[in-house]
Amino acid sequence: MSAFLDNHLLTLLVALPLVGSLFVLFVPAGERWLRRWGLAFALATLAVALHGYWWFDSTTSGFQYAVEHPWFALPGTEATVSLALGMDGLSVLLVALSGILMPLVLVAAPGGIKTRIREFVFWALMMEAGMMGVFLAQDLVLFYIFWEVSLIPLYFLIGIWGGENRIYATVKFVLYTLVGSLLMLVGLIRVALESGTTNIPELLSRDLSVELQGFAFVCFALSFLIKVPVVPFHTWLPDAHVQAPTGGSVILAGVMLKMGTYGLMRFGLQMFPAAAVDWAPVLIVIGVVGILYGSLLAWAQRDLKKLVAYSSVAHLGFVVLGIFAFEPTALQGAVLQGVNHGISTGALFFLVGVIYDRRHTRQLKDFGGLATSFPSFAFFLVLATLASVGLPGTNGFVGEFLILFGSFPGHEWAVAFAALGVVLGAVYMLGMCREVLFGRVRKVNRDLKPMQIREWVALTPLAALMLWIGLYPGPVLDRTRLVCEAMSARVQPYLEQTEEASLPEDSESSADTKSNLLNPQGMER
Amino acid sequence: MELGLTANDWLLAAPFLWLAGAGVLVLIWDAVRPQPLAEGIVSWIGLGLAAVACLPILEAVRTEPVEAFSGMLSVNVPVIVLAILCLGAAAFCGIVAWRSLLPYEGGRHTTAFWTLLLFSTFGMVLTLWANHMATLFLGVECLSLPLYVLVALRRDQSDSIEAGLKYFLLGAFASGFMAFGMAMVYAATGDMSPAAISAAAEGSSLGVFGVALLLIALLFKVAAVPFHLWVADVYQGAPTPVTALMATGTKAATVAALLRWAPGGELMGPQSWAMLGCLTLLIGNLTALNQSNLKRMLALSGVAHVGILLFAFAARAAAETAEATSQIGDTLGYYLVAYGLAATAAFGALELLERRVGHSESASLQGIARRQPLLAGVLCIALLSLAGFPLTAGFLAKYFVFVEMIRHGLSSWAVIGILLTLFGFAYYLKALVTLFMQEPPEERPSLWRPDWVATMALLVPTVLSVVFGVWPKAIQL
Repeated sequence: MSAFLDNHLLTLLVALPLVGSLFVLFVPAGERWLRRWGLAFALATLAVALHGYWWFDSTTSGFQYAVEHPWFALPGTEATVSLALGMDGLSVLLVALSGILMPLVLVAAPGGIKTRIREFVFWALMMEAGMMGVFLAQDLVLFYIFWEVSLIPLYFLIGIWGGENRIYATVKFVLYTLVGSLLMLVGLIRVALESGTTNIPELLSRDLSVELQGFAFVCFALSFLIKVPVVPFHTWLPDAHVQAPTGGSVILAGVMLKMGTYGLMRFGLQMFPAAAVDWAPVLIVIGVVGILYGSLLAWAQRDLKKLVAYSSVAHLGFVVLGIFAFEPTALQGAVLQGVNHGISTGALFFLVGVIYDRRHTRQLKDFGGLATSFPSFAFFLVLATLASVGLPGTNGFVGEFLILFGSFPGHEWAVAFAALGVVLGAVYMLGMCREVLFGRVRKVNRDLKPMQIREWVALTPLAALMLWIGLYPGPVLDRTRLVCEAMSARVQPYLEQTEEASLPEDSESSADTKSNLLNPQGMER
Repeated sequence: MELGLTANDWLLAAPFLWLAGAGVLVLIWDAVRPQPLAEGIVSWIGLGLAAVACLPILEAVRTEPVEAFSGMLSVNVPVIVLAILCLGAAAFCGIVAWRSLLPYEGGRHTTAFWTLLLFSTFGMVLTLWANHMATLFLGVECLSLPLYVLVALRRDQSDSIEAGLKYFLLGAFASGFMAFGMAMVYAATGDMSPAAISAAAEGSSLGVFGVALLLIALLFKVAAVPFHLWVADVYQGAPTPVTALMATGTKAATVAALLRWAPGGELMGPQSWAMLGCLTLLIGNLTALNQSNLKRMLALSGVAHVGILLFAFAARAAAETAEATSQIGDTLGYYLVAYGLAATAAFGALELLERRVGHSESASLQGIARRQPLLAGVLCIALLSLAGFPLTAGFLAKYFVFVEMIRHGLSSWAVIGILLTLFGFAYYLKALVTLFMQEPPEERPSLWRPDWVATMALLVPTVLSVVFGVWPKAIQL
């Protein structure tokens, strides 16, 4: 059994939800059973994902559980596109996160999803297959295919079960993302033609020409930055979040946005290191601007869901900063912070859903004093808020601390401004808590239905994860350590080249300072 | 020269014999004892046997192209695949028309429908096989003349009549151009084989002019900008089963003819082809963007697809080796199959919806997924394939074309082309909004009883779209 699982683990991770979605589409069953079938498939996927997580070998930075089948020949080249899957330290956490969130979404779904259950479960499972595929694909074309496939389900989830303005929001979301992915397609074709292969591990081990890297990096990174989203491209996010049903928001924030940061690391850093070094200063500025601007926007919001949506922009700014600092510690923090954001923001969106189902409003001014009238809600909201703010003892602290700590040498100013973002985060999140939970209890908020079992079931695992990662992050970090060190090492030669190139121009002393700024170990070498 | 027929002659003529034989048999049957069902069955059998007759040819051409009738006909692999596509489209057209178009006016046009359908398919296959200007002209005329009538078959509807007349007048003009161009090329070179085109394009101004006329005629038939203006009205006015046939069969046959008869890089360089493709893509997309009628939108989106096909011609003009050229031929064939399958499914589903709604205005198709989930699902997959989403054949088709372009040094055009397809996504997604996301007018929409036979038939191109998208080896013969 175990040998079978190890051999087919990744195939199962993609195939189970896919088969499940088709099964749910055609099985003759009532609404209640459809949801149960969907849940069964999602739980089976979760079990496989956890098996993969548990037996993940953290003593190697290579790809594990790899499977590969040739698929079709790329016309006119010797390259063969293959169905290749593999899991490494970058993807293992995200795979586990996707596996955890999807059953919770299905459990909590009845709160907001009252019609067309069959389609809902179908699209949800389809999306899970797409997301798993994105994180596991070991072939450029396959990655692109999964990238797009995960898009369509969310298009329908928002478009069918969303709020008033859902069609505007969903079309905007898809078109924004498509602009990026079409550019990625251009870059992908050029990489495939010039290197003669589409196999990702093969490409990661090669040093592509600097010119190709520059071109492909722009194409790929733009696509990922729109997905993350970073500040100039973020306007689709609040619309999509506000209109999406609860489950859609959870998946969007929890996993979809991580596809962007995952891509930045996998392709931006690992495949195109030279270009990443060239662009790093720009991207660090973009990350920091995202932190500050996102926080300020979140502070100004009067709508609970919009506030959480903008806070995502700020949190992902940290991740971008951590990625482009190129330090192993910061990279580990970036990977972890991606997962943390999925957990805490996922929980926050669930909570917004909980209160919206009862009050049919999301305006901060409509609440107040819920701590006394709805204590279980208040408990989870405070916990998720603290995790989101990054209180020590919660998962958010570990991630943010590692990013700031790792990025500090060489990026002092960036870190200083980012730390200001931490303060702003506390301001708007705690302000939100105060307004919603404390103060005078209004009459409408007095007799709220207590938390349902399905709501407990959806929130408890997330709360447990927040504390577990916060108090004992060791095992989680172990799994990412080697791959982050390898990534950082991959960039180092290019970093040194840039330094050397800048040496002759500057005078001796200023060159020294510069190399110290860029690299704290410069003195020792 | 010996006059007896060779084995190759018989091999290549077999599909024609079946098609023409079935057409004549239908006519005789009608004269003796009119019986709609029998006529339909005879036609389907004729189409089926013609398709079966293509299989031994496929075996024969796998190594090298086969010629027959002293070089008047010549086939290679993509051409045969496209012929099978045309035959399938015709059979499908008959199935979808069975309960809508055939009973029209008490069924008095049944015989006309089947005969014209068979003869038009005959013309498509002849156009595909043609390796001599005479056979090309015969093929194109054989293809077009029955279609003029089929388009105007609903003779009490003004838009159908208008479509037929428009198609006829403009098509006749194009035929004139074609004949005149052929005459000039012959005068300049004394040759009527495809090789004459290259020779004429490089020779005297008479030859160049002739090639240009021929090119214009073919570009008109494939509906490339600026010769696309007939498409929207004709596709919209024609009965939808006929539109499906035109979008699939006519397009496949004429694009394949263009591939064989358009001058390589002599008259138009890669840049001009790419420019033409870009214009076609842009104008097709822009005009499709704002249509309130789904059928018209699909028609204009067909123009946009021609734009991408022309990109493959740009790559061909830039290709230097014969191997690369034949590779591009395969790419074009794959694209046409992918487009044909999706267009057949889309127009077919639209026809079944039109029967209930009466027309294809998107306003009255709102929330159709609640009433007719199966048809909406078919349309969804077809539209995604037309848009070029992964896991459908449409994605790989586009992908292969852009790979060819970038491989032959047309990267910047490929970038423009890829970005222009974004418009395409916009209107296909808009159609999905109408079908799935907007609410139907009533509070509790009821399920409609579908036409099961036609719906099951629709599933064939739909499933094939996904199969070829997931497993492209199936037609990378």
